[in-house]
Amino acid sequence: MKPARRIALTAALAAVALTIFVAESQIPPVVPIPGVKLGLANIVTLVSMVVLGRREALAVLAVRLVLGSVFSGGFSGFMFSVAGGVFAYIVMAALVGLFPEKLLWVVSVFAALAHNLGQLLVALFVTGTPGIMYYMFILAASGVVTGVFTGIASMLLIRAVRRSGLSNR
Amino acid sequence: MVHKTKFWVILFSCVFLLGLGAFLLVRSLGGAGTVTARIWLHGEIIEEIDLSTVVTPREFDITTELGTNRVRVEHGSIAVVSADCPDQVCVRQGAISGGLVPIACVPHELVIDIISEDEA
Repeated sequence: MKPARRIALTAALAAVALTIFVAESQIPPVVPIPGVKLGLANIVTLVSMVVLGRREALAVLAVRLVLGSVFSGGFSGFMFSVAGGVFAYIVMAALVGLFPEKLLWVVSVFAALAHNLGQLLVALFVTGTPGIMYYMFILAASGVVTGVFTGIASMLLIRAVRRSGLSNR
Repeated sequence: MVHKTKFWVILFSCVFLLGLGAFLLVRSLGGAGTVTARIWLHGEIIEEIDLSTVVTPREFDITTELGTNRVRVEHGSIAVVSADCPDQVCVRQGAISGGLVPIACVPHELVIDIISEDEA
């Protein structure tokens, strides 16, 4: 891929990540349990990593985290986004080469679990209340569900990007 | 094994079911007897209320620089009835009367949990 195209595609994916992140923050929580969210922005991190590479995915994540906190959340929201996004990124970067592409959804589930763990640790730090850790059980269950969902979405999006020819000229 | 779809489907199904089951279990745990609600703000207990002695329901506000939560105390249960945060998760959690899972209003750094002790 030409460097200019690479930069353009990274920027486009960062814009998509930011849009999805801001859109999701406007959706009221479906389940009345703190921390249970779809985590749609992780789709873009994973797609960027597979289509472009780990470095580009990190750039997409950094842009989304910084600009996302400008558009919504403030500092407290920023800490949660960073913990979730960075934990998910580390797990994705470690696992993405170990699984064949048809099992990319497995990587996504592990990333979603890491995302929830990161956010729970921030919640523990922020509230200083040990009882908050009892949420880890339901956050593990919800991480599996949202991870499968975002994983399948990522696989479809990767196929669409490749078919469009955007990633291989 | 790790490249088989079936393996992961079964593993994650187990994680989901165990997680859900464990959550429902810890939410329902706790003995009868005295039920004490503890209100935590920024990691410190600011108030303890013995819910078994509450006769008439009452409501009060907890206000910090982060926002306000209106708490309702009844005989044996405690709930957040309104909050000026955008997500309203703590309100929709409803009342708790026991169990280990606290009501959490994370944006306001407010947590309400319950400790119950069996009367010997």
